[in-house]
Amino acid sequence: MKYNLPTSDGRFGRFGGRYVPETLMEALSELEESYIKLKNDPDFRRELDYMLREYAGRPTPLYYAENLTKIIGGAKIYLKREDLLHGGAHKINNTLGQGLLAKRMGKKRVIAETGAGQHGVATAMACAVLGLKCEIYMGEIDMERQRMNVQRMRLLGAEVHPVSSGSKTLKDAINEAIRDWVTNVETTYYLLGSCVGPHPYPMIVRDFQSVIGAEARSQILEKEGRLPDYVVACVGGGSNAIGIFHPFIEDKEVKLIGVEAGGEGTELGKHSASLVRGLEGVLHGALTYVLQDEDGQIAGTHSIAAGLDYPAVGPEHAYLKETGRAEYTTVTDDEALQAFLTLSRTEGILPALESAHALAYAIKLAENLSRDEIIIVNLSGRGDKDLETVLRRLGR
Amino acid sequence: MNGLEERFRRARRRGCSLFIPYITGGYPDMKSCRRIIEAMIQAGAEVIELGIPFSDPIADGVTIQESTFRALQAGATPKGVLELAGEISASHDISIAILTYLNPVYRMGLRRFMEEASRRGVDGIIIPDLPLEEAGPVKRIAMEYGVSLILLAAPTTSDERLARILDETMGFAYLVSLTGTTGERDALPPTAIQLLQRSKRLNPVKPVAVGFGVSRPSQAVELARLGADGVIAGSRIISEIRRSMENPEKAVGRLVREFVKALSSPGQ
Repeated sequence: MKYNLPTSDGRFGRFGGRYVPETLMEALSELEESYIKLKNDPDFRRELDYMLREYAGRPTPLYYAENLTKIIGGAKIYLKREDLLHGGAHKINNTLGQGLLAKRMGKKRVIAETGAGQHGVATAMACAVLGLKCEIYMGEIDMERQRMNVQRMRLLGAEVHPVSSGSKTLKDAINEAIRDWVTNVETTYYLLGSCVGPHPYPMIVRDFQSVIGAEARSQILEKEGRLPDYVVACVGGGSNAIGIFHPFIEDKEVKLIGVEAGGEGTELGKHSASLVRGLEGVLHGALTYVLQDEDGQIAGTHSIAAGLDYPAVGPEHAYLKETGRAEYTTVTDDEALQAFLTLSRTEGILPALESAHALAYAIKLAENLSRDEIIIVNLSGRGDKDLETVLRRLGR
Repeated sequence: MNGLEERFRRARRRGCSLFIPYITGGYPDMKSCRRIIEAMIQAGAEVIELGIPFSDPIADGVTIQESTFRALQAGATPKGVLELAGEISASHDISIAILTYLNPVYRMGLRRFMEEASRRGVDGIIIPDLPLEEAGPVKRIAMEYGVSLILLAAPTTSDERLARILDETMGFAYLVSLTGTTGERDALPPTAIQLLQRSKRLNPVKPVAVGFGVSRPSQAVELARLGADGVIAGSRIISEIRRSMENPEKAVGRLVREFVKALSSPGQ
């Protein structure tokens, strides 16, 4: 069966949709129309491909982690090296795409939210190179724990607005960005960083991130002459995961595994595992899985990886979970930290703590598989930004 | 025709527009909230907009956001606010419109929520993150229980959509006066006037109430003269409560009386 979602009303099964204030409805329609018109426009494709290649550094290698594989003694582990991209994470795939879209739509001001700061930095880079004015909303707590990224954004010419409402993290930064967009909708492009939010964002972000999976698929066919048995990626909002999963969805023999942040316990507030432990609900414009209490108030979240610290998830993941096409699991803070150390020492690669979640699960998985099986892990970002967190945890 | 719409019709026949004060349910706490609502009714308010606080109110500015967090801290729950609505509606001839976001409704279950709302004498429900395209299932169940789903229209709404919203909304249409979040503004935005005039041209029958940014009786009168059947003030009420914490019901009562009086003969 051909996989052709979302539907024209933005649904992945019953998930997704457009649950936003009326003020934004015309803007979302305008965005959808512009995107659909441009996505197959040869000029637009050429410009985006050029920027991805010459500016961002695509294609990224699919690296056979031979040392790691030998130590574990099970399945072969390949790493899709998104950490090598400009900015150090997969986020630039989306910000270049949407930045070009904003420019074609004639919008001069771009706003975005950021949690760990990776999307904020990637947005600031795209806006700088494309000549767009850039303003970033970031929770005060995140600004404190990701100080370097705040400085990077400012050096790149972006204005960073601290958000002091609610939990002062990513969810509140999104609230504030939506409030800005509601106010300035006619002049402003909202550059959402994950496959969350109202339609058409989950589709647009997925499409721009699907370059990861498309490359990985042809690279593994070239190296191994066959498809992998598993594709593993971490899931916060879920953009790197949907990007690598999507081109494999119709390859039924390839198992897709999303790894959420198990944090430091299974109670509400101690983790960020929306798919594994959340309930259906509506947040930031989409019907999806949401971490919430019995009254429908959005719960606090925790993860050692700031980029996974979000109480909802992209609606397409909710659909893939429900249909069983993808499986979702969790990895704790400690396990992610162990995987961070393991990869650093065996392969000389410092992974982002987000990506270390995927890696930790892949390591457990590989142990129980035979040597002729293949796992691809999406190494979505590099770990330099996490040094402070890691050193603090190690007591150094 | 339902009770809410009928109330607007009667007001129109009397030559007046209705003032609709908003309060976040459970703000500053459940007991004071009830006393403040009683004061609003004493001051002549016939329709009360009562908020069920939600942790992530994306359509609200800082004033209502703060009241929301305060109410949640004081222990407000959807059930508690509906019970409050029940107590008020049982002892007064007024209409109550609940304002909340979709998630608390969804969590309780659409059917259970509407059943509970209906049992508590709630006349209508306003859900700012539920636009026309997504409203169908909620509206069907609300109708089964005799609760009006009140839709919102905004300055960015095209004529074609506006006509559909005016047609689909029940009780009245909530006209959002500006592109932005709730909050007090010094002057009435020109977008409010344009939206009001477009609404009246497209559908002269359906009652409309204008909200967002209304902070003075003189602004309310201007809107009424242009055909608004109702005028909603939220942030203005909340900041009045915040300013007079020792006796908020007195201060709010005085403010509501000013608005009601101004709207009782807006032609003058």
